[in-house]
Amino acid sequence: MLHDEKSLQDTLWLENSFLAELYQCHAPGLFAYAYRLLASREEAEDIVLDVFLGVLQNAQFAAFDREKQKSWLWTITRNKVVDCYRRSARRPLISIEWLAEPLYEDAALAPDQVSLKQEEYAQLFYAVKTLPEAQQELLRLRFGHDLKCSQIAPLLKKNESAVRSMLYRSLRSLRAILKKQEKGEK
Amino acid sequence: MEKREDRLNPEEIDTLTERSGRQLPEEERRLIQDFYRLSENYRLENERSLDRIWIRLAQTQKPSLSLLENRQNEAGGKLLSMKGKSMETKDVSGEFAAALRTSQGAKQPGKGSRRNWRRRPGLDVAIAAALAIVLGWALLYAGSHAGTQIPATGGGSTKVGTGPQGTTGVIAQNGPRAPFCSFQDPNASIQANIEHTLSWSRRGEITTTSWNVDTYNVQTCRQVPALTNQQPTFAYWSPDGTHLLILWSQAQILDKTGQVLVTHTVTPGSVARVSTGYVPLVSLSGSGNANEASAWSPDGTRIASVYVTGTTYGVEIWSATTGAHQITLDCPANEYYGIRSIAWSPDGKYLTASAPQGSGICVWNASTGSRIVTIPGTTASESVAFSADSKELAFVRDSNIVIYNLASRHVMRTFAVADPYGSLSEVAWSPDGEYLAVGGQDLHVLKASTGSSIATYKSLARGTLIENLAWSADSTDVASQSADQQDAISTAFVNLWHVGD
Repeated sequence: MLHDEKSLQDTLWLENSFLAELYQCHAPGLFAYAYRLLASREEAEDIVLDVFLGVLQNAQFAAFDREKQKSWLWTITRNKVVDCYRRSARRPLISIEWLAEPLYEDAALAPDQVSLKQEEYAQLFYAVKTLPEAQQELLRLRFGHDLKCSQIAPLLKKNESAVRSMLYRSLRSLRAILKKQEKGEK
Repeated sequence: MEKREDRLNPEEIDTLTERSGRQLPEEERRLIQDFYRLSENYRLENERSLDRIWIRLAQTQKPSLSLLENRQNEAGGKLLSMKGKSMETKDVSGEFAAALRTSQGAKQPGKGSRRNWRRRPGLDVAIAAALAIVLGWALLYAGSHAGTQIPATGGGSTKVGTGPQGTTGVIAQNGPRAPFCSFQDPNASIQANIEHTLSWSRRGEITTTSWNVDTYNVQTCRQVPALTNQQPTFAYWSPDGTHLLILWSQAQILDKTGQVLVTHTVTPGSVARVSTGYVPLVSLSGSGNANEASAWSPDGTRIASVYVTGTTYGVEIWSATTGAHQITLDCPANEYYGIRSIAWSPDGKYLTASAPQGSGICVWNASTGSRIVTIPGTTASESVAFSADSKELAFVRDSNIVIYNLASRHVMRTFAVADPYGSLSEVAWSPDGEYLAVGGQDLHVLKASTGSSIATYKSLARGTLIENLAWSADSTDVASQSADQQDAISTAFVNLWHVGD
């Protein structure tokens, strides 16, 4: 749809707007939050759309300072997620499969290299699964959603330095696990 | 390996995990590259989601703008031109446009963007104009809803007043089962399922919040302008009706004239008093901490507020006069439901909170902070209330009202209440202990001792659940608040009823 010329045209008038900057800054985190809790891509998209429509309708929003804008966006998103969660009366699936072996990228490699790479992926996949759930979640947000620590912080309700430390610990644990696997094989 | 770990520190980790050409130790770089490769499909799917949302957002706005453009053309003035052309901005005014310009002026320096909503120069003013007009139409729409007919069973009131400050609500003409005062609190500036509050002061004002504060005098059914504003707040009257606590990014205590007496910053673990001026809530990261439920102690000296830090919910008691934190109370809650309501016992000795899908109902000794009772609930109980003698609790369980005795730790009575919605949402015990007001889709008033029905007031809102209930101090009147969201306007409906009418 993105490559459809008409759809692209529709988006042009909004580019460079205050809204665009706001969207770029906050939408990835808000979407990750909604998706994480609802485990439904469609519902998460609907919620983020509603939140930004809410921005357009809010006479005071642009006058808020940045912190207040941020808290407004998060509060509305949270309320909508809770509301959606209640309505659907189901439990979210926190663990969403997000690691999948890429097939096309290794096509240029020689067969033995492909095999070696696949083995490395398998080891990493296994190592990630042994991490505590919170660390897995953090890695998913960091790499699967491409969020920076500052964007992850409100999502996990932690401060930025705590997220950084946690990411650091997660990677350190991973390296330790991988090293152990390597030694075990030898 | 150890040497590499030594080279890392938490402050560098963001840089480390960037996909830049920065020289990283080989193993680190490979690990991060592998992560990006393994998560690529998922990440691209997420980016496609964000693209889809953005396109839908653009498409949603475009028809309105096209319509406006046509109307302006018909009127002889070309106002808008789409798709990147420059625009003449005749007669562009409005709060949002002005605010937007201010905000744009304060923008941080732009940085590279990887998606198609990136910056394009020259359109800022045009967008401000466009958004201002969209907003104008939304406000016009809101205005057109003022005075709309709402169905009332049993005759009586016909029209509900809304709009400018000083508005008079509806005063019932006559007839049974009609509220003696009704008002709507629409908020066209938001489109959200927000939390509302309802608080009835001992001195005869009733305040509701719908991302703003709206206060009415109960006797005259007239709006009180001094206690009505557009700030996003949650409001609670002190027990003696002399002070109004409003909470958002700070806690303020107002007197009856709307004068701010004291401002507290609210952070988990502390409520710090500040002397003057606006103090932003620095810890309001993400979900917000100050907009959860709050309740004044019966003597008006303490305030209990729900807080959330991390994924942990709890209740803090703090001094209303100094803002000093006193006690933190523990009641493990479901991450998504949180703690929905809190209430003090009338004697001030106990505090209770409901954590649906979590601990259930928690009751603490308000002096020591020790949890004395936990009533597990497998089903949601969003509301809990104390009896007048502080000995019993009433809470909702599905379509039943459960009366629980604190001393014996036993359920004493269970009343089934038939509501069109099928389950109940709220319960409030009258101050004299005689009645229970129960909210579902309808408002039910029961005799607390027997559960016999005193009255049922049919929903006047547009098919939504009652969210909040409040009794008058003399237990003769009860107020219900429900909310509706249609066409980007979130409206709180408040109805006041004489019990027994």
